[in-house]
Amino acid sequence: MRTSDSDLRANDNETRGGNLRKEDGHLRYLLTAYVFGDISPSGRREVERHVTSCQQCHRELNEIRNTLGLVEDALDP
Amino acid sequence: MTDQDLLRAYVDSEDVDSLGTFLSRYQSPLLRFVSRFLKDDAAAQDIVQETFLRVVRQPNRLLDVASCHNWLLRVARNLSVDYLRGAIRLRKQASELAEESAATASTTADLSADRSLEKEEARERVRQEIAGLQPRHRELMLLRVQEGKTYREIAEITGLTVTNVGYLIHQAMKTLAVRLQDLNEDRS
Repeated sequence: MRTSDSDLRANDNETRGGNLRKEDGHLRYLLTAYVFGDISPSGRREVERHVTSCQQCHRELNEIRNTLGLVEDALDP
Repeated sequence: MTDQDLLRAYVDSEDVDSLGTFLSRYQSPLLRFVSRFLKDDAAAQDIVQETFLRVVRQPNRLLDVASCHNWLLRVARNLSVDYLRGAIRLRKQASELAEESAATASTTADLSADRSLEKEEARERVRQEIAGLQPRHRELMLLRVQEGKTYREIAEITGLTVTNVGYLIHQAMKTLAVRLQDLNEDRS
């Protein structure tokens, strides 16, 4: 079962002032949730839309994706 | 037979074989998780044993849970955290081990140009970096990547909020990305 983006948003509202982004506008842990596939369809679309126009998040997304590839490979029994 | 069928047979008829079948299903997955979390195979055996003892003592507690695997992971994880808290010496040993392994890795890297060996060295390096994460990050990474649990399931197992799970896993991934930057560049 995927984590609902509204769960993230609701908890985020409680603990972090309702801001899923950094103050500078870049996505935060939504990028990692996206790479893990643990994100709602609307969250997925938000990430995909954002990284087409934000070089920094695009680079970070690739970095997280590559890191996950390394981790999965290392933990593969 | 489902987990619930096996447990019901044990509760209702004291069918020890059913209990054995149930426990054997989870022995390897639990050992794998706890061993990597604690970085101590012997302690992991004890933790899994203690987890199973709780099932034997109070099997009724599992009859109504949505996922026996998640319940067992939560108990094993809590026992592991207690163990870590009570064993400061482990931290010292882990640090010494990491230094030893890093020294070995750099030596062997110099000695061999063999591609498959390099690959295995890279995998070992990644495992070391995972082992070197702070315990909270390490357990979340293992639950997500190794055990395939969702953020929501991890929240249930650890008692964290879903947001905190997402935030901490992101931090763990960023930490690993920095420490594995050289390997990441090789993949790009």
